Amino acid sequence: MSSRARPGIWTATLVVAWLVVAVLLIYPVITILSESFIDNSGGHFTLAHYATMFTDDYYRQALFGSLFVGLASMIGSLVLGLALAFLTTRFVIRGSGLLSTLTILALATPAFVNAYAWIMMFGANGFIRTGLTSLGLPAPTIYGAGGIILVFTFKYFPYVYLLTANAFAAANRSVEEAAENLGTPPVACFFKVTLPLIFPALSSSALLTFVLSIADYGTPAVIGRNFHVLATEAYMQFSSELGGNLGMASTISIVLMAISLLFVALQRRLASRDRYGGAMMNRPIVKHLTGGRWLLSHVVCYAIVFIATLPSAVVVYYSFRKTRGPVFQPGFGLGSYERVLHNVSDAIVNSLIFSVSSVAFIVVLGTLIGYLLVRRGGIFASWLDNVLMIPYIVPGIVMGIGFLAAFNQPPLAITGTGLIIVLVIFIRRLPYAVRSTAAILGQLSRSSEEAAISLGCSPAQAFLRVTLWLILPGVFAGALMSFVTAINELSSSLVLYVGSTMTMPVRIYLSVLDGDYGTASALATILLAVTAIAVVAALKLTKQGGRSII
Amino acid sequence: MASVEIRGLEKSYGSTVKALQDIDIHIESGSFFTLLGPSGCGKTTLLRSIAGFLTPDRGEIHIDGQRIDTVPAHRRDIGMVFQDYAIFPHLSVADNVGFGLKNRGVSGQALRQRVAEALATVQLDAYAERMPTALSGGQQQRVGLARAMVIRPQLLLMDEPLSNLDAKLRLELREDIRDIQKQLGITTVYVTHDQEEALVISDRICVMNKGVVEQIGTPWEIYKIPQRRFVAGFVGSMNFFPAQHDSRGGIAMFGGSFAGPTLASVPAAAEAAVRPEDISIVRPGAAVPAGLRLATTVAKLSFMGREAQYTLKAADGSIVLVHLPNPELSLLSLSGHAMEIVIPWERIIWFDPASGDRVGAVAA
Repeated sequence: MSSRARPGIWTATLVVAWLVVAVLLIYPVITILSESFIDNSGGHFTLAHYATMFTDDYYRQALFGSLFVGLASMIGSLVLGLALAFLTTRFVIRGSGLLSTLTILALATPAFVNAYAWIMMFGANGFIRTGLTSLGLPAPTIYGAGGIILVFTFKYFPYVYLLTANAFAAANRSVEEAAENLGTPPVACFFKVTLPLIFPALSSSALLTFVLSIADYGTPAVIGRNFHVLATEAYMQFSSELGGNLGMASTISIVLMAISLLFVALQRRLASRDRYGGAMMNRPIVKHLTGGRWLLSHVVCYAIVFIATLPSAVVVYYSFRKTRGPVFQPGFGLGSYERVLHNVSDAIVNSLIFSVSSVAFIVVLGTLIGYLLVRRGGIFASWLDNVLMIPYIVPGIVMGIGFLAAFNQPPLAITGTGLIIVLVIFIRRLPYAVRSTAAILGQLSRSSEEAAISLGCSPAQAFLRVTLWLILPGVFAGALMSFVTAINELSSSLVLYVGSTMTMPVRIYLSVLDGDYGTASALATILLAVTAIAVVAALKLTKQGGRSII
Repeated sequence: MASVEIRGLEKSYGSTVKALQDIDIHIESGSFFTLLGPSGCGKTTLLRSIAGFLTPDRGEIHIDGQRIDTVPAHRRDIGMVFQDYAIFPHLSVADNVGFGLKNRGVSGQALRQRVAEALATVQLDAYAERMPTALSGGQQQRVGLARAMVIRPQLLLMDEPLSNLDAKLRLELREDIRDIQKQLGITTVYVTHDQEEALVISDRICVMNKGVVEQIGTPWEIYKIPQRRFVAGFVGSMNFFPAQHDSRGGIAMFGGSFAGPTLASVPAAAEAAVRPEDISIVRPGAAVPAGLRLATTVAKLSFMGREAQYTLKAADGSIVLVHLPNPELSLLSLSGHAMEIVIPWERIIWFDPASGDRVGAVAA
């Protein structure tokens, strides 16, 4: 519905948004797409890269590796996330607030840091593994597919938890009661009624864990050893010291995106049939358990959250261990922190500058676009909405390669600057900010704004004096979460960084590869601390628990 | 205080949905004017067009002779009360009420005075410093009312302001809205789908259906002399019976022939409409009014407190609803019994079934 507002700020926003999306999103993706069809030497059209991709055993293994890791991690995350969500929403679990906060915190750290922490525990010289071996117990190392799946499962189950906990808490109790009244035993009721009721939340969280698992670069690079996936393969082809194979890297990237797109389409198809709404709400009762059941439910919840939090604890612990060079010594000390401040403080400064600047852009444009989509509509706005889905399926490593391929010549020669890192973070996170603003606005009746207009405010004043006030806490929380993802971002900055634009995650990653575990631990602990402060602040701001964070 | 003139207003959604078709309405200064109709009839579209939240495709809206449909919504000087209250949750009750005054440059003592007066009018003096979330729905809507009227707008619009409230509050606030409007004399356009509410509260009612105006009139005119079949059926309950002239000069109804009035301008068929409360039950010893006498059996009987509703079945299968005020106990156990009724001819309203227009009856 249009209002009589003259074309002004909103038309300008739409034009700016389309320009930004065209340059920062469509152009790099098109560049990758065209590179995948161009042969590396002559610049001719070719399908050779795709032929290699699907016939060469090496690449096929990476493809199956990605699918296997993605599906296995998805199943693992679903089991853990559903268990925690169901138990904490339907039964009284002591300290469930703390469990929830810790779970959200586990979400905020980079996956590869967890991978590295697991190596500290179960790697070739891991302290738990060596402990077990010295007791004569069998203790296999953690490298390979199993390790990747373990890391992803404990890394991504919080998404399942957050999305389905809301759905569990909101499912209409009367429906379950009706099923029981009709003679369905409780367990059958869970599978036949409750799970189908939350299917939209369940399937979208499953999709999310799958897409994130196949997109992640750092974890398989750190813990995968000889197990290859598409994300690591794309980077390897791109950065190979024998001269990068941009065509092959692009082709792998396109395949990776195609898989994500396929799963998105599948989930939409499945979930579109199952939208159960209804004004009549009868919220589920939270039951008190007793005896063995009480104990079991607590053990399950605390075990899941403990294992998910363990990697962070290990990292913090090692950051305070004494080191000599890269080797840990008995006893504690602040040597690692001294070395961090002495040698790599520029990474900290860079990270803060890049994150804050990209978040500033994200908040301003994300809020305006979100408003535009919900309150103005129109064909250009709805297409913008569709195009903004792209970053959800483009892995960071792919976006990094796309940026490098697209912006290495005039007029947009920004390769090697800090700006390119700011921009890549900005465009990758922008859709999340747009979505969260749109979601908050969607719940907000437009009549408050109309009331302001009828009382004499111009549309722009009404937005500033009423609407903005109402969405401000949500926008702030969203900004903090954007900051968290920005400062923890590894894969695209790994492709785009140069010596002077090194960020914290890149430095940690390189330190892990170099075996400089002290520096890695100390820097990762600093990153954790910054992240934790932002997450807790965001949680304080929003009453919806962690829901708005995704 | 201002009169409103709406001329030839049209609005379509897409190419097929005509929300408003050629609307012509005159609203007198100071009157309480209600737009009544089922959902989707166009009443809200019309209200939002007046407010300026929708742009009509064609037509003009004038307030006191000044064209306003080309003026942006915030410069129209129209107050509005919303269905969902639309109270600003981040402002106190007093700040909500003062919001429009500040936009109009009122400040200091004058602002405080007018806010206090407005709050007193809606009986919320004690709540000035509260935050809206601490108020009940009825109180929030009172704030909405105070906020809209305190700016003394030329025109006050209300979009189903009572529909989110529970029954008792609805009746209470309905009376208050009526009293306050009379007291201030602000020209008011009120939207509702509740016909009883419309009858109670309005000076004039405009019944709408499918984007067109069916009838505009006083509550009495709308209820007692509906000019359109839709109005007769929508407002209050109504019996409809098919009727036609027969060869002997009488009226064929209920499978029989009756000596009734001559129907003007309906050559073949007509539809007879009569209110359930206008039909009399023939009781031994009681005087029988003149009219169409009909033998029926009682199919169903519902006791509704102040009246009883009889669902009667005539020999030809026609169903007749009859309302009997203050029913006696002896009359409430007649299910399955025979019952004779009288439909007074002068209480029948005749409609042309093809056009839906009322047709006049010439007395027999």
